[in-house]
Amino acid sequence: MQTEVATARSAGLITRLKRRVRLSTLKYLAILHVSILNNLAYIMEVFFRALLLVVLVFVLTQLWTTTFTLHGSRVLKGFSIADMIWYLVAAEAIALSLPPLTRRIDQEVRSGQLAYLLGRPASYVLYNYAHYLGERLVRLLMNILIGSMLALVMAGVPHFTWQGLLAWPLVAFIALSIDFVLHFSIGLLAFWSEETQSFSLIASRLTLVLGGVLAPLEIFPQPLRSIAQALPFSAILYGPSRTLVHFEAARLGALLIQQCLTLLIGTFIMLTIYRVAVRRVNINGG
Amino acid sequence: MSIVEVEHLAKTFRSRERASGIAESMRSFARPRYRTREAVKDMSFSLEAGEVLAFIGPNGAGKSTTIKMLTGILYPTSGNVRVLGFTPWQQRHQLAYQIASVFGQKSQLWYHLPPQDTFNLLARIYELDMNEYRKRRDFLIDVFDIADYIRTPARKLSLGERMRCELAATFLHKPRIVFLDEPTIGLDVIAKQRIRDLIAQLNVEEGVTILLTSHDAGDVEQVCRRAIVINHGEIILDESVATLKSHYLKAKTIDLQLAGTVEELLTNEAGDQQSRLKLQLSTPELDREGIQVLKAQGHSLRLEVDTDRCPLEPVIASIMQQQHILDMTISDPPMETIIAAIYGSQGTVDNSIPSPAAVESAGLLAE
Repeated sequence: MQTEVATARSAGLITRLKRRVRLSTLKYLAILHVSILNNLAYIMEVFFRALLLVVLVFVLTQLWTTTFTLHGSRVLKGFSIADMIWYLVAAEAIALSLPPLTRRIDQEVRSGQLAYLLGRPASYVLYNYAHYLGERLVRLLMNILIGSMLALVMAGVPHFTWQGLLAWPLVAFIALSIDFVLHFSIGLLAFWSEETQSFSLIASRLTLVLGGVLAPLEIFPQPLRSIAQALPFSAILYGPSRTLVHFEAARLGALLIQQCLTLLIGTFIMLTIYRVAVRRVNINGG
Repeated sequence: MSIVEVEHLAKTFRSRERASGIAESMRSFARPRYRTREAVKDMSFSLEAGEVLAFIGPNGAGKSTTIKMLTGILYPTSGNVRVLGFTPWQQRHQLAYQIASVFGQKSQLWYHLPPQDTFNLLARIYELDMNEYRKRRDFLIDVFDIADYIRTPARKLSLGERMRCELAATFLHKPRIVFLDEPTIGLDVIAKQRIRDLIAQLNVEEGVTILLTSHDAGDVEQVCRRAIVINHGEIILDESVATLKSHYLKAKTIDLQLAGTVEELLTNEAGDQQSRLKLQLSTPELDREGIQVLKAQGHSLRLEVDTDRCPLEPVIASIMQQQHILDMTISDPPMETIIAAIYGSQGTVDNSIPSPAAVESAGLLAE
């Protein structure tokens, strides 16, 4: 009899848990959906922003073509000029898709707009994560579209492996999540600092320089290469781009470990900052 | 039954102070100085189910801070609060399903999207049954009369239209308590009236409890049945609105633009001082002592009428018999004047509140 009651109880618990998971998933998917719609409302702005990728990739391609010519080689550290162009497009597509997350969080904190979000039955962190993903996915897809057309013209059809193509969405998604943790944490600093844009600028420049957006990290001289590989920035740009262009199963495993560890530690730091910050809320305006 | 219980609530903010000048900036960087400000001091009150309570006071009185503590957004420095049995800052998530808030100076609508999209999102956030939600949404679209622009991007709506959509969004999940923080701020007279009517309607029809903050005495008079007046974070009056009206909201200000000059309406009974100007009334039984001329210049006339001694309608009718009125505005006394009157009746003095005369001379009288 007791066993039956316990079984019924645990079945009820499982049903409630399933319902909660389903409702929570629908909640954050709805935020993602609205965020995508909001960004599609000004798709031309997204398109023109993506044209910057054309300029950057074109300039970098010219530099690399000159370097290859001077070097007198068709392959540099395993990368042909065509590989290099596709690598640059892949890395720039992610780098240039970063929305102004830090500025938004900073503004929400300063203007008191976060009062609406904190007063809702939704996690402030997850709400912002879904909002950010919506913004970023629209920009990323536009960058991929324009970048691919450019690379097709400049480098021809790429020699991607099917494993690389399958693994890229996963590692790119984790990369975007790491970027969120980094920039959301910086945005939360608005609770203490009067200006967060300087921190954001430093983080984004470090990501660009040490993350491997100008060149694959293999090209970097030692000890800069080892330092860059050890830092979390390489998990955002270099790792996903290399997985796509030069897929290696062993490297993918190492990248996934690096990404998961970075995300785990970053999330812990972000949540710690958030827990302290939310007690310091000092809403402005009335 | 009390659904909101506030006991000895207090909130202290600490803010960094910095004097002007480079030397002071450097000093502040090395040795920052902080100023402590008591936004809410030892506040206690309760709210019954179905009540409509006005929380009124001047800027910086602590109204919004109190609301934000009641909704769990702010942590108090001390004191106890129970809202629907929850401690807001500890059980914010659970409480959020039962309450709603509108902050008049901020928007919950997605700027580039039509309100319809925000409504759909809120349905998911509050985990509503989608069939129930659709019925509720259609009902609110009807009540708030927003069918014409429910598919228009929020950025293209007027302030009044936006506020109606904000309110409709607020009532979607059938909250038991609604906190309205200055819902009529910035609206014109017609839009304000519309919002007041809608709030009153939903209170009556759905029994929702409403706590409203406002600077506007009109919101209090027309929507609320009880008012708490606060200043410097303290409750200085907790009375029924009927009492508040009879004691402190009896003076109305009438601004008139006349076709002729004001001299034709006024008599000067004692010398040439403006304070002694009296209105000539075609109805002799009206109490002229209840009417005070605040300003008379060219074609503009400003009067203050004590409605206890002299009803408004016959005064206006009497003026209309003598002069053609081009434009007219009737306004309540500004909050500063009401608070000064409350302090006056309690025999206390608050130096930060300007006297009505000072307010008038500085041209601060609320329009």
